[in-house]
Amino acid sequence: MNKNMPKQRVILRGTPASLGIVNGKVKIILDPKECKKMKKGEILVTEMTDPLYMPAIRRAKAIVTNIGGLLCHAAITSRELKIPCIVNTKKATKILKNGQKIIVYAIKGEIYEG
Amino acid sequence: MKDKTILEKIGISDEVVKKWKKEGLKITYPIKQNLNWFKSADGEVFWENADKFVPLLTKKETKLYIKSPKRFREDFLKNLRFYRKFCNFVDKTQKRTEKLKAEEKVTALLSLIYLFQRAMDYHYYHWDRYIVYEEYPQTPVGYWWQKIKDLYTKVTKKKVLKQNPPEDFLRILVLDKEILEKFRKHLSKNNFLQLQKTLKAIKIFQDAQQKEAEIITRGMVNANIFVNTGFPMLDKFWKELKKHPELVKKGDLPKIKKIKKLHPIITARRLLLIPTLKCFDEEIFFQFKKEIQRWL
Repeated sequence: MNKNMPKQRVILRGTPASLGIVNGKVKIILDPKECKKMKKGEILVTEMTDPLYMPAIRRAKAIVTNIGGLLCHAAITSRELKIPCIVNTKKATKILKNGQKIIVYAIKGEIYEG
Repeated sequence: MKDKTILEKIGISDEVVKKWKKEGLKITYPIKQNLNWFKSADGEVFWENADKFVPLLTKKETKLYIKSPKRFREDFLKNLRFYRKFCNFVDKTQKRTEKLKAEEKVTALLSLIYLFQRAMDYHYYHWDRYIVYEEYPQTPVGYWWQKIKDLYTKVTKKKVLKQNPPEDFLRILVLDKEILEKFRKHLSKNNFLQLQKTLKAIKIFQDAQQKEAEIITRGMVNANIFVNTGFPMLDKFWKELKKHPELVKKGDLPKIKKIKKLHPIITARRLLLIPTLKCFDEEIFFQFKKEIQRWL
């Protein structure tokens, strides 16, 4: 077992798309018009991203999406920005809540309670 | 003298339209669902809701872009820059709709939203959608993605699962030197050259997406060119319709309201399909069609 692996409870699983481990607060954005609500250092949680989400992505510490694969916009952008990313969680926007503290363990594609 | 179309009334002459067409603007009417909507061999369809309306890459384009990912990037970004320019034009034009009466304003905005969306389909989404089709080897990205997966399996004897890719596969994608060295030792010279060629191709597709984001957000604060152009037009359109619900045929208002609640991209798409357009007052639909005819 990886020594960096969190000990908390896994609350969600997806596909790791950009490696890394961070903790932080959830910010759910479902409409690109709401990107300006994203604060620096929050974890962006969304259905999927596209270039419309860039203002929020630039402030995000990590990205978690409901859908997407290894070449989706969120995956490519996060690898470029070197921030962890988990895609294809299916239900992140439903399970996670705004302000909730989580650990994004994007080595295995797991999200833990923070 | 012929009756002016709705956008002619706010200064968009036939010469202006001709100029855009000469520069390569492609608009078609109506928006139709593709008959050969892209499906994979297993029958699974791509997840983008709007995608079945986006013009597909032709066989010739697919062949060309498999052979030359660089050409894909060039064509994609060239069209995207052109589309950005067109968006600026649409944005300037929509500001002129203020002086129109309610019915004319709704018609003009509907026409501009149509031009905005259809140009987006031909000059942006036509390429953009394909970047995420890595699981479909019959597409340019998918072709190269399959190659990298095969080479990975050759070395590690592990399959790259779509849901759970191995950590070192992700490291290859970011060109991690340590992993590449390991692969160099395990592959024949020819196969390692293939791996390098494949990674280069994948990088071109990834770079195209990075460049894309840069182009559409350049000079913008907290937004991008599409948000700045499309959303205000949609907002303005809905506000006008809220003030004048009589511009929608009796009984069709609930349908329109339902569309308004969707994601803006899906809203724009649904709004512009023939069954929805027919929900508007007949004169609006007539004038809208008259305007769009000029751009075909």
